[in-house]
Formats: sequence, structure tokens, C-alpha cells
Amino acid sequence: MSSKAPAISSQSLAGSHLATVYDEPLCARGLGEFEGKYYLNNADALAQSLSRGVRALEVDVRLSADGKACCSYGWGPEARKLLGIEWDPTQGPMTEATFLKQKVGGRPTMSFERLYRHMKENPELWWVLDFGKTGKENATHLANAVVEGLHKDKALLSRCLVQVRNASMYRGVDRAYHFSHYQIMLWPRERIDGLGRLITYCADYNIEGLAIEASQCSEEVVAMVRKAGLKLQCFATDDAELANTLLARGVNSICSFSLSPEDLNEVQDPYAGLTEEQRWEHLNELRATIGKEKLAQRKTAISDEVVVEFDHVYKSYNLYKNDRERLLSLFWSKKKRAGITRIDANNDLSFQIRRGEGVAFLGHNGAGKSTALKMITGVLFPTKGTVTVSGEVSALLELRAGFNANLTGRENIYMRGYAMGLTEEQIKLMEPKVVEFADLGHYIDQPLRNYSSGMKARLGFGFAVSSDPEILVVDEALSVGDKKFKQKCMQRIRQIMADDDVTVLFVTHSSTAAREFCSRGIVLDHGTKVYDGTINDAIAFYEASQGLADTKESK
Amino acid sequence: MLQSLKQIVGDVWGWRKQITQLALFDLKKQVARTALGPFWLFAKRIVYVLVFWFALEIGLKSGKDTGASGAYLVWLASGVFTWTFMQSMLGTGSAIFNKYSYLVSKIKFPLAGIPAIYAVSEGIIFLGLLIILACTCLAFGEMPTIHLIQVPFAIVLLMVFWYLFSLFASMLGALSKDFHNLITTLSQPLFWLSGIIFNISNIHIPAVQIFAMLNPVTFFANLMRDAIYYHTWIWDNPKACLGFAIVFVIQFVATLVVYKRAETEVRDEL
Repeated sequence: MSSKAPAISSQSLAGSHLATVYDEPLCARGLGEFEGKYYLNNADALAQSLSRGVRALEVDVRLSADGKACCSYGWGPEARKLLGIEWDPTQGPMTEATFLKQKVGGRPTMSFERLYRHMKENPELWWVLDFGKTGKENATHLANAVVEGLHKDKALLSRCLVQVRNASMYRGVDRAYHFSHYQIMLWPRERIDGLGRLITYCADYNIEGLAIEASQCSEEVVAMVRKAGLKLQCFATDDAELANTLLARGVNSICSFSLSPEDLNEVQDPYAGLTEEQRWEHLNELRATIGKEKLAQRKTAISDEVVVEFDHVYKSYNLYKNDRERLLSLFWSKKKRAGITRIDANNDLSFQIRRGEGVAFLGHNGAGKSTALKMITGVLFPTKGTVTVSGEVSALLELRAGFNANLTGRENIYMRGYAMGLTEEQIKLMEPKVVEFADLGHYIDQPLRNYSSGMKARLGFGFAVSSDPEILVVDEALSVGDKKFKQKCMQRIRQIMADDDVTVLFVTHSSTAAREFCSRGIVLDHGTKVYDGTINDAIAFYEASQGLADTKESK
Repeated sequence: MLQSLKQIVGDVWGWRKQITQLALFDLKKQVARTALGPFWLFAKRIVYVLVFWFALEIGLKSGKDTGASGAYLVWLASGVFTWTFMQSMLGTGSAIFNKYSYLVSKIKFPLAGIPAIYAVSEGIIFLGLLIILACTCLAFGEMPTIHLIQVPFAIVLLMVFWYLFSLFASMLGALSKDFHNLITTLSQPLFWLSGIIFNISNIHIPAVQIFAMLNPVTFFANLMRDAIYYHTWIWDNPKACLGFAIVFVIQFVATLVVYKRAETEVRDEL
């Protein structure tokens, strides 16, 4: 895999040359501390942090009940008790008005409007926005509220670094607003296990850094992150000695309550001289290990939730002697119609696919793979048995279907979006991603009749992979376009698969592609499942059966 | 059958936004690559009326038998404009799954929503024609009367009836080409025996009268003319109402039966 892994767009490294929050070795945790015990988002805390000489500040932001962004404090039970806040969390979050009424030590919390003014007054400061751990939907609302709260001021928004907890949250935030700086925060601790996969995800998505708890920042972890060209922030320590050790190891920035810049030694970043080639080499090395070993473990590593289930599914097509018979069949009862020749495209097919699995369907032409996939996408219905699918399905079935030659690329995006049942708002959110992926330049506003077939495929593929699918169905769609585009598609599928929640179903004749993306293989023959197991065993089974068929034919 | 009705109504209502947008795209496609744009949506239909007007009133001098004193062009246009909508539904509308085959076989789009897209896009053109007709009326000095309130009702009924027809005919047509040919063949007599370009009430042959009574094309043409030209109420002609009610109920039931029976099969066939 490492030999095939292309250098991902050079764009993804561009961010690392820009000034970032990581250039500040110190970041205040919360806006500051309160009575030496707790951190608070009020004006006193901010003043205290600024007086320490900190140029980067972390702010906890939450969504109020009425959809406004608020500088949070006291949401947790411990903090509520400490600060004496009377509020029943079972009632859901407070409204902004109730929230602003809360006072601690006689001082109210900072309103978001006030925070906005502070940001305006101190344009040289960096702001790390901690959104907490939240779902994709909520993350979108929160990000929208923040953008509103900061009066859509692009200069300010570009000085914000958004902390997200996982890929799903990142997508939630990013579909609301493309922030220039993201950081994935590893919390709770066990996430450190998936670090390798996360690093390649960050590199692919142009997420510039990670935040890891101080006690987890072993030399090995720091090396892994930094060698891949990512930045690393450590939270949270007030121990100057530890902070200095971490900085010497290669950590870029320390998040702390009380340390000030004078407490830290001047250190030389050990990874500063890393060339791009070296970074890519390391990244590809990482990819190779997670591609081969970690992906193979996927099946057991993810949740037990079944997203696709086939329960004794039959799909039959009726064949008639001639067109007269066919017309008459419309008026005959079901019993009589059953007497006509039937072809079973799927014959007693049963299997289950769990969330996050990558499954390849292997089989000869006419084995029933495409029929099964069409039933998953909901285009076809089973004749007998049940097909259960839970989650949004996006299919790379026929990339160019339904495009109109006289409409522009952009109009076609909208048209297909509506055809797939999306609303105008949803399409507006995905449009820039499609445009970016398809990379058509000025052509995007030209009618499709001026496109080459490769350009149309790019548009179609871009659409299919930009809709944040929960289940992605790929039906040999990768055989379109030139080599460069194929690599881009592969890379995008890899990105999608990095998200634990996404299930990928793959129909292909190419065993290399199947090996790369899937951990499990199902072999079909004459509409029936003949083998179900790990991808390597399934490919071996399939190739053996194919060899058998070939020898039979030659005889 | 109730289940089918619930499903059809639910699908169309649930997808109403997408249906409207796709209908607008439909119109956009029709005017793509033209400089005059929307003009072309109406031009053909207007010329159609003008040609009939020239042939009938000036050429054949048959412009006197409308049974009222208003301008013949208004009488003719209110019928022929309504016909152009029905003509589309009888033509393309009767094999609508061919026009939108990708929605049937590639994308999970509710089948019942597909004829609705076409009905809405044709309906928008029809509304435009009605505005042109309103201008024509004013130009001829025809002042609006209370009877015009029948027009919105007529538009809704027109769309619902022909939507049902389109769904019914397209489903059967997808399963049997014979049925599709039957509809295209019947489209001619439906027009020529409808009284759109002559006043059918002047023909006193019982068989023709019964056919006209059961012909939905006649009913809709009369409905529009009663509202716009004759300034009467449609229920003043109980026979026509009864005839249409029968046809409507049959169409309604037939659509539900066919939908229930063929909903899943249609996707296999296309």
C-alpha cells in the first residue's frame, strides 16, 4: 500500500507554514483561574491570563437552549457545586438569558458579545474554542452560533482554532463553516490507541494538530505526531518542569492554568528541520501499518450495531414467452403469474453488516452483486424476504446518471441533490465540497455538454462522496477517469473510511482494491452466498472458484 | 387501497419541495441554450391558438357558434390553452418514467412523485398562459365576473386528475407497450371529439353527446370556458358534472389499484 499511497495534495501541508496558535508555547486553560481552584470565563480571569503574558486562550463554548453560543462555565455537577449555581441539568441547557444571570463571586460570566469585543480589541491573540464532546448535528448548530456570535468577522474567525473530538464532529463543524484551524482533542485517554489512523486522517483533512493529555505525551507519541508534520498541544499541566520536558520532546504548546512564559525554557523544536519528503515518508509508513494491520482488525474493533441486514432475500425477475403473455400477466392473479419462468437474481441471500465494516462483494458477472447493492440503496425491492438498512446511503453506482447536458455543473449538483431528497440548505452545505473535489475550475458554471467524460465522472464522484454518507456503496465506479483521478478517489474513500461510523460496501473484480478497503469479503454465486469471511480468505476462495470455472470452460 | 392512497399522498407531500425544484429545473432545461428563455415556453402554444383562430374564424368562418357574444379568440384560447396542458399529460405524461428513468432505476425517488414533477412544470406553463389569456380578455374588453373564482378550483382539479392519469398510464405503460400505444392512439379522438375547437353542444347525435359527457378533456375545456367566457357556473350543467364525477372516480380507483399492484414491479422493468 505504501508504494501506491500518493502524496496527498500539497495543499494539506500548506497550513503548517502559516503562523498558528502552536507558535505560542503557552495557552491559557479556560480564560483563567478563579480563587486558585477553578477556571472561569469571566473578565477577571481573562485579565489575569493576559497579565501572565499568555497570547493564546482557550474558551469553552456551548450551545444555549435558544441556539446561542455561550462562554461556558459550571455545566458539570462538580463545577456547579463549587460555584453555587442552581440549575437543574435535567431541564436541558439554559437559555442565554438565564445563563448570563448567573454570577460567581459577584461577577457575571462573560457574554459572547463581550468576548467578541475582546477579540476585536486584541487582534493579535489566538482563541482555542473548546466545543466539548457533542454529536455531529449539535456541532453544526454550535458552529453556526459561534459564527453568528462573532458577527461573521472573517479576520477573527481565522484566529480561532476549533477543538473537535472526532471525525464526525469535525464534519459537523466544517459543514457549518470552514474554520482555518482545527485540532483533534484526544479525550478520553483510550483514544490514544487509534492514534496512527487519526494522524493520517488529520493529514488528509488538513487538520493541523492534535491535543493530547500531558501524561500521554510519551516520546513515542510525540515523535509519531510530529514526524507526520502535525502540531501537538499538551493539556493540562501547571508543573513547569514537566512542561519544559514536553517542550524539549517536541510538543509545540502547553495548555496551563497558571504557568507564565517566563517559566518556560527557550527550546529548539527537534522536528523543525523536517523536510516534506521525510514527513511523507513517515506518513506513508504509518499508513502502511494501519492500512494492513489496523484495518484488518476493524471488524472486531467496532460496534455491534447492524446497519444492513438481508434476511432470506429472494429477488426474482419474471420472463415471459412473448409480449402478449406479458400483457395478459397484468390481469392474471398472482398464482397464475407464478407459473411463468423466473430468474432468481438473489436466491435465499442472508447476511449482516455492522457499522464501520468494510465489506467486499465478490462474484462473477450475474452473480447477483449489483442486484443486492440496488436493494441496499432502495432502488429495488426484494421479491421475498426482508432487507433492512439503517442510515443514509450514498451510492457510487452510475456517476453520470441523471446529469443534464444543458445545465451547468453547479445546476446539476442541485438537481441531483433534489432528486436524492436533499433540501436546499443541505445542498448549499455540500456544494463547495463537490466543487472542490471535482476541481473543474471555471467549468463548474459551464453546461455539461462542454465537459469531457472524465470531468462528468469527477462531478458525479464528487457528489457521491460529499454527502457525508453513513453507508457508502461503491460499484466498480473507480474504473473511470485517469490515473491521477483514480488515486484521488481512492484517497477520498480512505478518508471516509477513517471515520469509524461509516460502512463501506464494495463491488469489484480488483482484489487489490478490495484488500485495501475491506476487512471482510462475501462471495456470491448464482444469487447465493457461498463464502463469508476475512478478505484474504474470501479472495482466495473466489479466485479458486474462478480458476475452476475457467478450466471447466476450456474443457 | 387506502394504504396506497396514504403512500401516494405521503410521498408527494413529503417530497413537495424537491418536486417543485425539479419541476423548475425541468423548465430550465427546456429554455437552456436560448437567449429568449421563458418566451419559448409559451410561444408554441400561443402560435397554436393563433393558427386555429385564423383557420376557424377567418378561414372557415365558424366563429359564430360559441353561443355567446364574447370574442371568439377568448373562447378558443380558454379551451386550447387548457388542452395544451392535457395534451402534454396525455403525451409525455403517459410515459413519464421514460422521461425520468434515472429517478426510477438509479436513485431512490418515490414513484408517485415523478408524475407530480411533470404536472407541476406543465402547470407553471399553464399558469403563464392563463395570465396571457387574462391580458387578452382585457384587450377585448371582457371584464372579470364572479365566475372567475372557478378558475383556481379548475386548476387544482385539472392537476389532480391528470396527475392521477399520468401515474396510472405510466405504470401500465412501463409494464406494457401496448397500453402506451393505446393511450397515444386515443389522444387524437379525445381532442377532436372534445369540442375544444367547435361547440360540441351544437351536435345533436346522442352517442357524441354521451362521449362528450364522459370525456374529461371536454369537461375541463367547458369548466374553463364557463368561468372565463360564458360567465356561468359549471354545476348549471349537471350532466357534465356527473359524467366527470364518474370518470374521476374510475380514474382514482384505477390508479390506486395499479399502484398497489405494480409499484415494486415498475422499477424492475425500467
